[in-house]
Amino acid sequence: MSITAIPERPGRSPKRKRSEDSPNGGIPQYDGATDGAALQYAYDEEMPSELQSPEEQELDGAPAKKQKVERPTRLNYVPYMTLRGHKRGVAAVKFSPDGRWIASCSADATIKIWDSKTGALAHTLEGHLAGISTIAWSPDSKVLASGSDDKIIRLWDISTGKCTAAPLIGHHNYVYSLAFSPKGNMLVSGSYDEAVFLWDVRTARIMRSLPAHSDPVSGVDFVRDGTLVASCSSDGLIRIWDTSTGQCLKTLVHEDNAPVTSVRFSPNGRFVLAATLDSCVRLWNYVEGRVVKTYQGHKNEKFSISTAFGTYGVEDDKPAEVDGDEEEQKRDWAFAACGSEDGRTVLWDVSSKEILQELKGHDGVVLSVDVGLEDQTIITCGNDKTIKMWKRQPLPVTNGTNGTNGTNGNHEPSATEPTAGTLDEG
Amino acid sequence: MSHAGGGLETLRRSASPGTLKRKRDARLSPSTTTKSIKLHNTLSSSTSRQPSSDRVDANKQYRSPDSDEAHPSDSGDTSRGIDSSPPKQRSPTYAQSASAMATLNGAPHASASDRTPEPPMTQKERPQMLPPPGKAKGYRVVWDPELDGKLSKEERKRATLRKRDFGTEIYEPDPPPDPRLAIPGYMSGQCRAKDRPSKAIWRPAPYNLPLYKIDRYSVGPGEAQQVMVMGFDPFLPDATLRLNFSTFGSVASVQHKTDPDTGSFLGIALVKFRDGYRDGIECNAVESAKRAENEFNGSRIGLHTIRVEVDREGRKFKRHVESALRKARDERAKQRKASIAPATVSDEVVRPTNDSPAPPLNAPKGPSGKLSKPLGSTAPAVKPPEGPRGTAAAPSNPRSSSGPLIEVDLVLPKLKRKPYIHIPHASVPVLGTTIPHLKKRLKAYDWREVRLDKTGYYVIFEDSKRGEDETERCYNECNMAALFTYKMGMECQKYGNPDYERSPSPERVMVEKQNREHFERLKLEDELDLEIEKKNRAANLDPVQGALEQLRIELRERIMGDIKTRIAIPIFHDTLDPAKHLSKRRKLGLPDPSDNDNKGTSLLFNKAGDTSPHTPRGRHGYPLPHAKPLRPHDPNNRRDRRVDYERERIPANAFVDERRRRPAPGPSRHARGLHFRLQQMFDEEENSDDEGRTSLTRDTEDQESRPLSRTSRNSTPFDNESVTETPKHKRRKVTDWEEDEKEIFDGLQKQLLGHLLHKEPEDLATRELELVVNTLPRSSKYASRAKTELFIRQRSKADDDLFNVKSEKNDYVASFIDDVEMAGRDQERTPAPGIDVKAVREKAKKKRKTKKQILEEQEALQAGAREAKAASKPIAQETVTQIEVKELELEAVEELAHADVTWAVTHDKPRRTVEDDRHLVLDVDGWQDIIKDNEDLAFARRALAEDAAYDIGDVKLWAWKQKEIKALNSGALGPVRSETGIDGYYVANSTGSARTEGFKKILNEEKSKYLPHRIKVQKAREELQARLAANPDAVVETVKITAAEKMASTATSRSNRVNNRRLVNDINLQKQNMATVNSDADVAIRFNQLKKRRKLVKFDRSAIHGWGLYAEENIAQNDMIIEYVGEKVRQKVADLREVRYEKQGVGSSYLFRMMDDEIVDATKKGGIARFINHSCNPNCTAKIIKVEGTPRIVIYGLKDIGKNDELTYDYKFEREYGSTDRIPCLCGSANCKGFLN
Repeated sequence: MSITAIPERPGRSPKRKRSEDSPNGGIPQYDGATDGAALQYAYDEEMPSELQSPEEQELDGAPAKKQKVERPTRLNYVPYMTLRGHKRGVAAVKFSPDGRWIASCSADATIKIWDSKTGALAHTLEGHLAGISTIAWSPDSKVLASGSDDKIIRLWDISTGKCTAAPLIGHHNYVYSLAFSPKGNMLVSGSYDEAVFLWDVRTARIMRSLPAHSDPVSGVDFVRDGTLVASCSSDGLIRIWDTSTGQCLKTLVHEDNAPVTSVRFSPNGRFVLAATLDSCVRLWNYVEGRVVKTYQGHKNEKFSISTAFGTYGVEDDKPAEVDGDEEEQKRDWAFAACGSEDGRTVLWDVSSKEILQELKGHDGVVLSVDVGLEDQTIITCGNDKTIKMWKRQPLPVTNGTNGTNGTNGNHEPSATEPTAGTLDEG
Repeated sequence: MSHAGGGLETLRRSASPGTLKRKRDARLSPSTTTKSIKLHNTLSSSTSRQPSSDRVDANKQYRSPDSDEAHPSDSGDTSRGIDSSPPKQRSPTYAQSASAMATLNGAPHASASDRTPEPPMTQKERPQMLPPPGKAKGYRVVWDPELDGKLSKEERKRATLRKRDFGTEIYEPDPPPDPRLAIPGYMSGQCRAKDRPSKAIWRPAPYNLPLYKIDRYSVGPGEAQQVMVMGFDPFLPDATLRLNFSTFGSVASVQHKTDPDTGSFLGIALVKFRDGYRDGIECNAVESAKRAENEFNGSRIGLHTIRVEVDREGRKFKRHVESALRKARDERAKQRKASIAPATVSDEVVRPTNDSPAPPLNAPKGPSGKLSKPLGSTAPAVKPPEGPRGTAAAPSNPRSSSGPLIEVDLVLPKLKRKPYIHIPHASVPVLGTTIPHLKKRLKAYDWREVRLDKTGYYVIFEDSKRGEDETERCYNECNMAALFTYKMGMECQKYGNPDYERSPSPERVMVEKQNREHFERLKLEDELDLEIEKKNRAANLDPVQGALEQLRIELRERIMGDIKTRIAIPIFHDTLDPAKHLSKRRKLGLPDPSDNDNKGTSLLFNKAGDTSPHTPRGRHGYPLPHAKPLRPHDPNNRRDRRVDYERERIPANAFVDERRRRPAPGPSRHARGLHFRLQQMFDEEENSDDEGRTSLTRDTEDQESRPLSRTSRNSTPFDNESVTETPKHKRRKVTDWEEDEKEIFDGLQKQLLGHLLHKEPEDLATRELELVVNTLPRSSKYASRAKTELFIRQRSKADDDLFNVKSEKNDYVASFIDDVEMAGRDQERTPAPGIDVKAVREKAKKKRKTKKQILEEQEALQAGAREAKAASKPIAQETVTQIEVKELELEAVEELAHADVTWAVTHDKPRRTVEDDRHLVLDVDGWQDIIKDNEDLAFARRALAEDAAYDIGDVKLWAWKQKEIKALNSGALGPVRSETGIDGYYVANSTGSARTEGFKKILNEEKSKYLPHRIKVQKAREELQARLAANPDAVVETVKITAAEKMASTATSRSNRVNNRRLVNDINLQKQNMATVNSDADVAIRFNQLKKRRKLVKFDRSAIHGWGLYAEENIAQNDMIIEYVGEKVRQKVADLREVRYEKQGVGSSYLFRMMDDEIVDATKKGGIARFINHSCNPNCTAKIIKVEGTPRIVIYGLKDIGKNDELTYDYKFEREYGSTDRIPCLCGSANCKGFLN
């Protein structure tokens, strides 16, 4: 399997190409490597469809119209606010599913709940005896699970700020990653003790122990229907498990075998996004067991940095550029986000692998990224004890200059891709 | 119903027909047994006659009116239940049971003779409805005065009823004819009415019912599917047998029994058929078995006539096997005896006596003559139980084996009750060959078998009336008839062995046999145990050990003796010394015989400052305060402590300072109530011996009363110093200490403590004591002792200060500051004592101040503290923050204290107002608990003044949160005694959490600390190594034991069954294969082995490396376990792949070199055998065997493997000494080489 790890060449706009080729399964002719093209094709066909609304999907089949939509090659998130309060590095930050809250956990053994609109601190949840590495929101946004170095997983009632009575005890070392099942009845946890536990939330008991890895489990995630669990470990393996039987359905290994530090199902559930310590983020088609895309451009060699998916589209305030068709305006594309150890947060277009934007603002490692509801906000947190919130702004109308926006440090593409900028403007 | 009634019931039942067995049951049950004896005793004298049992039964069923009159006591007695004398009619029953009892009691002949004349038929007689003949059946009134009209009233009353009995006349009435006989055709069975079919047929005699048919509704085992075969040549191979029987149907199994002792075949086999198809025809197993019996019984296999019998549940088979085994065993026993006494045997050979089994000299030289001679000489040695073996030995002489040979043991005792005719050896010589002739000769008679032993022939008949008749007939006709040239002098025994005493019932025999077997088994086991024990002893026979053991025992005895004589007795003696109980006596007002002598001393004491409560007081009747600490304080005295503790547990008293309330001196002691004294006394008595003693006696007796064993301690700085330098009261204290210690002291701590106790300058000592307190672990006994001592000293000093007795305040303050510093230094762990000390001291100091003053002072202090706090800016010192917290909390505490504290003065010995729990963890709750009032707070504040405060925001909130966190994690509110922390393995991350820490490679050693499966193995390994280091022999021993255990475990029944099944299947398959393709048999077997003989295994995480393979069943040594399956590649390919795998990070190598250029790669395609790890002490081995010309890798068990054991084999890598990339071995075996290569 050869996956092109080389960043996309400037000047090529895969989006455009796709929109020419993708209809009805024609094999794209324009890509350099054939299998790479096939992959890309396969991906293009599948990936964004889930991120779109149905009517858009239908539109997908109409190439003539789609051609008119130009994918923005840049994004413009600007710093919105900075939340301070944690005394030590912030390990993870998460939007609640309903978008109201932001939860952040820190090495100072506290969890803070912030109002996502105002940035006001709503609660400080204390109770863990050691630093907290991971949190997970229940789907109803009422319960927050937190996994700490004290080997305990605690569930917090957000309305009261109190810990529920029964903590989930069973891990033999630091709890490192958590994920709620979509129904909220199960919790999957990965720990330094190399085990993946499936918990029954209500009874606080271990339902299943997945003898998963030979190194700390660095990430776990549930697929959107809850039938699959993905786990990854610093032994370099990503495993896909059947939730109901506990069987390992698939093991994904990359040739380099770099430690995998986070794993996340794509919103459509067909792919897995995994960050590895060779400074790559890979998108896997886990059914076929191959890498679909490799995103690079950030630095990730030591820390376990979480990734996030988001979508972007053409802003409403620029309808003229896209022919004024309302439905066309809603055309969305997906991006993937990942922090970097140099304080940036990098956003890639999922299909083209272009870097859409780099969010600069943190000192040191950005440990966690999350994309909020409507994709209008991104939150990042890092070892500098701060949480930063970024808001999407319309792209500046200025012609191809990056200086307009201090935070928009998308030097690479902009420098080499002046055409993209001009394209945006039509 | 009384017990006797119960006995009666049983006995009555026992008289019912055909219940010999039940009778025995009744006899065997103890209660009825004794009863029946008793009954017999009471009755036997009065009942000499023995009416027939039917009569008895008749009486039982029927009660004539006069029988009621005749035995009026009958029912009464039974109901009353005293010494029940049952009705006389029943006596025969009792006599009978009693005779049975007699059998048990050792007079068996009586019962036998009793029984023999008793015709068995009488037992079967049914009870009669009618009274026996000759008895009145009733009476008929012939004249009734009431009905006679002629009589006057008077006369009527006077006149009696005239009546006449009837039924007394004895006549033999013809039984009425059976009415059924009137039915036409009844006798011939043709009588059925047309409308309803009836099966009623007149049966004049009992007849045998046909066997029930087994159909689909019947339950239990179905019809026989197997036949028992015997009589064939034991050396006949199973295959032949199978072949023979396979003509009747498809044979499922042939079970040819072997003698478990010798392993020789017995010539008895069980052939099981199965349903199957043969030549396209379905053959039923049942049918096959039947056919086999019908057609094959009596026919021959080879030269032997065999016996084939259907054997439904294998019982016959078992029986035969058992008997054959028994015979074989007997034979062997005989043989052993014979070999012991060969002389007699040879004698017999030369001169055949009556007993010799050899034929007399004049016996005809039959065809077996040649055989019988060696038979005689080597006696039973060659004699197989069934004979066929003999033929095998001498096949030229088949006839000799056709009949049973001369039986070794006498036939007679075995005959029991069977009628038989004995032809003594005197008339017909004993020769095995004669039997057929004899049989032929007697063929006119219906004998059952002819047996032969050295005493002669036994012609045995059926055990029935018919048999008896037949016996008689035979005797009459054949006695003294000719057989060859001999005359058969017969001896007729138609009632069986005359000497035979009826054997106990089969049940009892069985029970006895079982008991015996059980007993024997136990004995055998005992012997085995003994053997093992002996072997073990022999194995680790170590004379040094033995000697040590002996020495140890002796030493122990001596030490115990010494303790008794030298320690215990002096102490007792001491205690009982009247001089010691002076004080008590005085208190109780008893006159002291030696009062005069002691007066002086006690006075002396007071001067010396003895503080025992009953000695005269100091000023105001108070104990001298500075003398307090000199009181022997025994912190180990639990009762004493408990009392204190309980006192303090009363909430009202919790913060009481008894002195505050009544600052004025209390009433002098003598003015107190008596109850108080009583309490005093008890207090005193509850204390240890030491306290009861006066110090003087202690002083004087000190030296000599000290046990000798203590002399060794004189070398410690303890005594040397104290005796020479310290003032007298100090020395006393030292002895107190010594006296207190009954336990052996930790050397260093003791020395330290002892040293400190004798420090001259008090302050120094105090300080060092504190040091001790702080350094010793909190739980240590010495720590608590040191604390106590410290406390005492401090208190005494405080008191001294107060009264300006000794030192000035400056000193005190200086030491206090020192304390504070010290407390500050290790406040993280044990700040408790310092604080406590201060608090206590403060209290003592302020004793005399008014409340107002106290408050003022407090306020001042607080203000000062606040200032100090304000000045010092936030530096991370967490404990300091707690001052603030305390402030708040103490407000509440204070309120409480002011509200319900009752102030009082202690009148007896000084007590602490508050017992501080030094085990409290000093978190917020702990502080709250330990700081009781404002002065405590003030001092705590002062102690922490040097540390800067932490910015914690809202103190209350902070405190509440801290408490919440603690409660959440420890599950308890309030002060706790153990640190709330993270259980188990925990290594803090420097940045706070794992995620902020970043990725680090975790070493295997680290992993072993927290991975559960590794911890398990690691523990076992460490244990083993520790033991190995400590005692190599023991480890070897344990290894042996575990090996033995495993051996035993592999032999579990289940695995046996599994193995058997496997084996049988294998054999079958092999045979079939052999039959079909003979050429490829070898291959087939091997192939089968690979396919079929696989063991149950599973893979799981392993401590050795990654994954491992584990046995899921017990595996015996040399069993095949699993085949190593994978892609077969050439060396070059393998090398390439290896590199690739390495690059991919496949952590394990799954390449197995099979041949020079053939490597099996199981990495991507392969079986789970690849998970088997390496071990330097493996339990498996890999063998390469050829199957169908291709080599295969098969893993075999190298030793017995228990369930759930990890399978390992030696990878046998080439050694690469000095190489840089050696692979470390984690197998954990005792003889691990450290590296794989």
